[in-house]
Amino acid sequence: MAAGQFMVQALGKRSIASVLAVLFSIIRIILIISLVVVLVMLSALLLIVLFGAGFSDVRWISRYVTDPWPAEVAELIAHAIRLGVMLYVVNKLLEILATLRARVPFAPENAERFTYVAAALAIGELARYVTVLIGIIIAAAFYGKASELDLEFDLELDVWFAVLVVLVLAAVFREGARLKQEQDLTI
Amino acid sequence: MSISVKLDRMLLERGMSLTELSERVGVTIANLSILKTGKAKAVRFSTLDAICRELKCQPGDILFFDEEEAAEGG
Repeated sequence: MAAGQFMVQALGKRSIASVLAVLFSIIRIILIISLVVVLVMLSALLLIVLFGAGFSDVRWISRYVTDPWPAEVAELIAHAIRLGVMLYVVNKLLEILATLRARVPFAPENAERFTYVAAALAIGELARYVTVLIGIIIAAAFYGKASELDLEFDLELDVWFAVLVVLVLAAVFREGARLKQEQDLTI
Repeated sequence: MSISVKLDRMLLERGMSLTELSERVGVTIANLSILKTGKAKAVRFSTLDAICRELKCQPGDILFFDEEEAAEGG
């Protein structure tokens, strides 16, 4: 009975799902702004590099930029990838929350959405490794001091753990959708 | 699926419309249409009971097993 009451509060309008939807909408706006800022910084950095100016020539940049430019570019690209993936995941979660608010949690699309979320997390993490690795290699080749860079090639186990959990959730929702369809087609 | 539902034929024999059957058995027209068109995955005994009662027939008058389709793996 208590679990049933909780379900009533978790789904539908004016529920936990609604509160989460509002929170994720705010997070989405913050992510979009952050992504734009990172992309602007990346573009500015690349323009400076392309026009041949070193960081030391530009006082305001040299104040913040301490690593060689390939490392900085790699770091910004890694940030952009991470923000892009987070934005994609938040969008998918908002789509899932919309079905929860409509009290249709086992919509067939939700299993696909969870699978896409898992794939996005995995691809984003792999892309980050590749970007950071390339940045370190280029910086080391240019300057021979990769060990002194801020870039860290860290394996984020929590991301991979999240990928596995989301894949299990996708399987659960796929099975739920199948059972719901069977229930709907039982006359 | 090698089980087919011949609800149309029975309705015709009894001179009853789908809407009338729907009202009598308390199953929506949409669900009866799913049953009639063979899209249903399962039929509850309670639904079968109500349909047979209203149409004054046996379950075997509505449900048919197609051996040929079964042999083909349907």
